[in-house]
Amino acid sequence: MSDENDKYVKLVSLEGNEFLMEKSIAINCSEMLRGMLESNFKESQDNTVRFPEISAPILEKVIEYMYYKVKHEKSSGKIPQFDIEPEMALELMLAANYFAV
Amino acid sequence: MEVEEMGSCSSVNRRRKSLDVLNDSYEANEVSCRHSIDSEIPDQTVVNLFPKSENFIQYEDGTRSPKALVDLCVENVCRNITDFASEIPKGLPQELVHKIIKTLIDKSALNTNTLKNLQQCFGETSELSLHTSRGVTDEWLKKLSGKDYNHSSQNFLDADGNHSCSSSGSSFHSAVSTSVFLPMLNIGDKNICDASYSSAFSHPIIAVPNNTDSSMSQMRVLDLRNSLKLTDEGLLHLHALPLLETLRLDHCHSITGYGLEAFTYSPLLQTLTLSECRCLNDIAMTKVANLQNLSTLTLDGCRCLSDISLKYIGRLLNLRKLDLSNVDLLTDEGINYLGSLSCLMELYIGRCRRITDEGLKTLVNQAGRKENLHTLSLSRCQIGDEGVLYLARLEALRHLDLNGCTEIRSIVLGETLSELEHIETLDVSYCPGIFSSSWQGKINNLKYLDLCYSGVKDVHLSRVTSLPMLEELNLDSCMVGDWSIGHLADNNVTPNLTCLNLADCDVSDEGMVHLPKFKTLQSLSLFYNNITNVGLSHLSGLTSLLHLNLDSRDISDEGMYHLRNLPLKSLDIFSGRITDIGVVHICKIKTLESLELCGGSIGDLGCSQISHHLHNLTSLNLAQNELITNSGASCLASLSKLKSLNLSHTGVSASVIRKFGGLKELQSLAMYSTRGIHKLKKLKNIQHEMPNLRCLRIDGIPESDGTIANSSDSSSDDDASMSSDRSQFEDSDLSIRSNEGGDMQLNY
Repeated sequence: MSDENDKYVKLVSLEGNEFLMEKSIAINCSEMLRGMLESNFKESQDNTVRFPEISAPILEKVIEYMYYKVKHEKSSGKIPQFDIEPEMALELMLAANYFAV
Repeated sequence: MEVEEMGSCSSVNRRRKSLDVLNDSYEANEVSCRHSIDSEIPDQTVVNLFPKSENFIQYEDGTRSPKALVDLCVENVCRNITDFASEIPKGLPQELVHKIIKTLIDKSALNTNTLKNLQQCFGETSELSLHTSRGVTDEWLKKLSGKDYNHSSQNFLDADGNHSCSSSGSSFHSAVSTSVFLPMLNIGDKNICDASYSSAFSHPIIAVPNNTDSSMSQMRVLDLRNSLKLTDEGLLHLHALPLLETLRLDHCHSITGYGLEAFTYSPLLQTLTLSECRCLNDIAMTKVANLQNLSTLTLDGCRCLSDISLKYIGRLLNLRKLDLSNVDLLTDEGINYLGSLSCLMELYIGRCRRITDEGLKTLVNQAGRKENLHTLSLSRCQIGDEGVLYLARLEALRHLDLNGCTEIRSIVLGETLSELEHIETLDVSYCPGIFSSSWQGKINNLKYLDLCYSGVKDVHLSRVTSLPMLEELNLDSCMVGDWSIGHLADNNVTPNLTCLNLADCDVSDEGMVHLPKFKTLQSLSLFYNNITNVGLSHLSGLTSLLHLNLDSRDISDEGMYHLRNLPLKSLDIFSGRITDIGVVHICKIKTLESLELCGGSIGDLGCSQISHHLHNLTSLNLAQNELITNSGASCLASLSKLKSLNLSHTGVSASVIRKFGGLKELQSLAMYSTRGIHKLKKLKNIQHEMPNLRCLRIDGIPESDGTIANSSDSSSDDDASMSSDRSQFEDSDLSIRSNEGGDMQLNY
């Protein structure tokens, strides 16, 4: 297993779209991902987590939020808004609850 | 909702008196009134209650982090909830449903449309509190119960097996009401009432509440207090709450009681509170009598109830707590009906002025009283020495209220107290001379003693040498002074005192010297004493003091310096001499939550100081500081926790109200004698911007103006939370007047 592999994690949406994100951010932001990636599950072996119930736009938004959160954590100034389309709010809420972010 | 709680009863009296005097000097032809606001907030306001800029969590070190994504989403859903084309779907995880409902209620964002889109979400909800929501109507309960929703109506069949319809004239209701209205015409005839009682038991319909499909079937606690517009028709929508344990309907002024029939299907109901439901009639109790699990029933201020009600209450064999305060039609005869309630532990019949020694005799001889009754309120009943002797039989008594039982003699009560070894709380205020004989050794377990307006003198207090458990002592308007403070402090008479009320006593700077010896003091009232700035210097030693009331013409800015290190939560000063300089000192007390600085020379600079330093304020009263103008007052808009704001008789004009839109928590706004308030066209918008505003006190608006709902019944339907306090004040006001007229009475 190369270092490169260890640094990134692949999240796969219901449609099969694959998103790469930094593993440290995933572990840091989402209790659910931490649980999966730090355990001995299959997911931690091949650094890929499949979400057969989450659509690509929602998964992308969740990942976007995790980067946003890490960037603005413990900042002293104003925090820019994280835009959520009202149409996706309910679905995103469910996903956020699932990821525990 | 405890907006006015901070000021003690007596201080508010005084304040009211001084305001009355001032009011007279103002435009005498203006009618001052308070407007109760009970219209629901419009849809467009809901959006503003969840500002997108509040997207962070603030830490104590000043840094911020983004809110959790799930919270951002919940707020997004709430922000747009009235826009949602479709309802929030069934089947969301419970924790998310809870979050959405809680967020909406916390921000007071509920209205008919919000509920419409939420109505499928209440299926698993076990607690719902709407008492802070404005504009609760029958329609709300219809939405909540899912009656608008097709699936649930099939659960309810009438006697012929027909589906009941969801309109207000449903077969469910009409069948009930025929059995209800008949006896109303024969209210004096007990037999007819009995007939209605039995028919109330044989339900005229077959209701089959299907637990799994009903919209609120999991509800255990339902709080609908202060729903002024709610009627019995609305309550009838709630007939499928099989798990309901607690129901609060206090201050629902429109309820008469037949709607309580709905809760016949809530067999687990334990707590039912109906205080100040002023229209509640005896029929209501025929419904309540079915609730065999009921252990707490509160009917304080339901003044239409008569002895007939007690007959039905007598069937609630599990009752532990019964509050009948202010139900003043009750008589000694009615007490007989309580004989079956042998488990009763708390009974409140204060201000039932027709109850006499005879009724008390009946009561103390009933089964279970000696062992179980631990709380008894008899304030303002016609109780004399004879009754007091009966009380000695209540061996378990811990809390006794004899406020205003003026016939009782000190020596007789002393005898009874020596028998009642568990007494912790004793209220003998307004009982002249009640403390004149020595009770030393008879009240060793007493924690709370209220002696206000009872004519206690220094010489009376000299006869007590040890009150080891005493925590609260109220000597308001007694003839005690420096000597008594010295006696209590120096001889360690009250080593555990936390609360001392010396309002309107004869305390001077010499007495103040002793105060720091009360090491545990948390609350101190020194209203109307002869204290100067020098005396205040001794207060700096009271390191536990949380509440302080001062009122003296000799206190000025200098004295405020001595208060700056106290850990105060509330401070009330009515001196007339505090200026912006004094405010600078007061602003050092960051812990302040309630601040009253009336009748001084505070100006715009002081307002600005307050708004910069006292972020924890929930209640602020700056009335009668005429130097305050709009520029100072508008600073106060940044005090976002404010629930109560009083700027009456200041130099502000009505247009300043527009600045207060950000005060989302504000419940009460007083702006008496404000220039241009009549011309202000936007008054309606203000009540929309402030979703929690329940009470607006301004000079009378012409009725035709129509900007504020319910302006006509301002005398009774003031903001519900305050009215019970108010009646208390009014009663004390009466007493003040009678005392002023006949001081001799007190010179016992």
